[in-house]
Amino acid sequence: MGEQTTTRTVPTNSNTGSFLSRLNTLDWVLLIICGIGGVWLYHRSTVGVHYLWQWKEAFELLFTPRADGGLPYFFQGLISTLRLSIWSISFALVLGTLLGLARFSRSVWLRTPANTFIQLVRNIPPLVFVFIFYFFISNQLIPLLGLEDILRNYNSEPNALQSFLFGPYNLWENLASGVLCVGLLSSAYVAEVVRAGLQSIDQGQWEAADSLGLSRWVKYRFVIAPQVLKVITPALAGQTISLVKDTSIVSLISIQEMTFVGTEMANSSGYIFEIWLIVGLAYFLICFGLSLTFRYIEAKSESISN
Amino acid sequence: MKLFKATITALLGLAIAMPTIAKEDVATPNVDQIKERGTLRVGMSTFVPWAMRNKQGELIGFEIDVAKRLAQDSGLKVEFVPTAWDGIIPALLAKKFDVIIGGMSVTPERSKSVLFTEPYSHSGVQVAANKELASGFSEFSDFDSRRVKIAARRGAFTVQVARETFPKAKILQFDDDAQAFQEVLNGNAHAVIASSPKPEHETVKHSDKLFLPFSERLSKGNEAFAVRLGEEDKKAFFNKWIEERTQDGWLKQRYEYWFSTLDWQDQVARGQ
Repeated sequence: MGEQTTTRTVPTNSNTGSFLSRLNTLDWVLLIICGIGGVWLYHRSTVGVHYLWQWKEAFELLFTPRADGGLPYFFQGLISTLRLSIWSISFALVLGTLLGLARFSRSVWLRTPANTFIQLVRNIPPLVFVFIFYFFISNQLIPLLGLEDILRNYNSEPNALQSFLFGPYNLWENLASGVLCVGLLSSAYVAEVVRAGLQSIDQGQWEAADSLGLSRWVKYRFVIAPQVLKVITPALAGQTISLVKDTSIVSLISIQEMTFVGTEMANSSGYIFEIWLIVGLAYFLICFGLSLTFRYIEAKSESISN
Repeated sequence: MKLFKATITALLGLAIAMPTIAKEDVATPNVDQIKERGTLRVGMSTFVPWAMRNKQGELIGFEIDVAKRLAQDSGLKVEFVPTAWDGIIPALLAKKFDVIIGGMSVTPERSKSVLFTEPYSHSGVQVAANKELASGFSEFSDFDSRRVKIAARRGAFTVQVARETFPKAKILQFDDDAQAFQEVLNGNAHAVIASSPKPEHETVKHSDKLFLPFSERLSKGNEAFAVRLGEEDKKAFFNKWIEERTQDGWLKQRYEYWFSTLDWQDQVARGQ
């Protein structure tokens, strides 16, 4: 297998010589152009936009605890974004893998419904999907599953584990709708990644596994899955990051995550640009953190397989 | 004759008794549902000073006072469901909450999809204009031109007023009032149209940039609670409360506090 998959790795910066000595004339010209662009943007933002920046007050507002001494409102939003992302990605990975397998299956009865769902979700804009889903489907789905009584009319006090995993109980239904929505949306893309991963496996691998007389489970678990996982990790990483950003769309259906909290805070306080820049920075930090983690995981698995 | 008298008496008796019987038998399934749950779910959207977050992130504002008092008088607990303004009517129809108490103006279009109660407040619409771009403008006709841009909050009643008053002007729509005012401050629009008293407050704050071209308010809006179509019992229930609180002057007093004074401003962070 070693010879077969000599993948090209992204060239990493070799640390020879100081940073400055490695820049040539063109680099300097580009740097100067970027610098002028930056100065011009800053100039425009002070002259063209009559806006009083109040960063100190905005940060004070951000860190003011709730009246009952709880976590500041903004951080409640941040945590619910993280909660929403984690549950959605788990849901999307499970459902997406099943859909991907169904799409790859030989049976028309499995392949057609999976294909229909994937094409439907992938070919309408996420925002439209969110609205359709929330007002038509989630409304039917949640009572149908009997979740309504559990989620809406839950009267006993949730224990510590429950509130850690799902947050305050009056927002459970809210969270469930958000997770279903983002999860379904993302599962279509995960399914395509899984299918492409399965198709990338050499025919010889399947035949070899079959000719060894391996059972279906053993074949998938020990021959196919490890190879597929290696191929699809970068694509799945991209999908995960994209999902975290997609959670901001559900603020429109009033899922109370970071973007929604940001809207409310910006409207109430008037620190519009400050709050939005902070919200943007928070998303960037989460997603960039994820990128670095995935890069590390990829490097690790690379070094193991070589 | 005796029989006739008896029949008449019986009929009269029945006629008198009927309304009382009917009254007792009036089904109030929707109100009962709320009472059984013990919690009134109120849909609202952030909109200064109707409803907003204070520094601690708690909800305050005129709507919040109204909803809390309503729940208290009815012996219910209150639960606020913050909702994006664009989706507030669909969310009501999707039963995400029992009633919209969100400064929603009564309009014929909205009446087709929701049932409004009697109005509980009467607000107006006012215009604030940019001093440079709109200098000398003082008539409606000054603004009614193809070259004039007017900013407003998307989906709000104000957009409709702007379209009716200035049919030729270009209406720029924004997701919230703050962005609409910023656009005028930046000199990208001639004027902004918004619910009073925001234009008045902003003009005082940015007296070097903004002015009020008209002394009179443009339109008088009627704000009402909104419930789903067909929920007449709920409407009657809320109407009764609104009438009582209008009678004793409580609604007017709260309205004055939130809209005419700035006593509450130290509770919220003060930006633009």
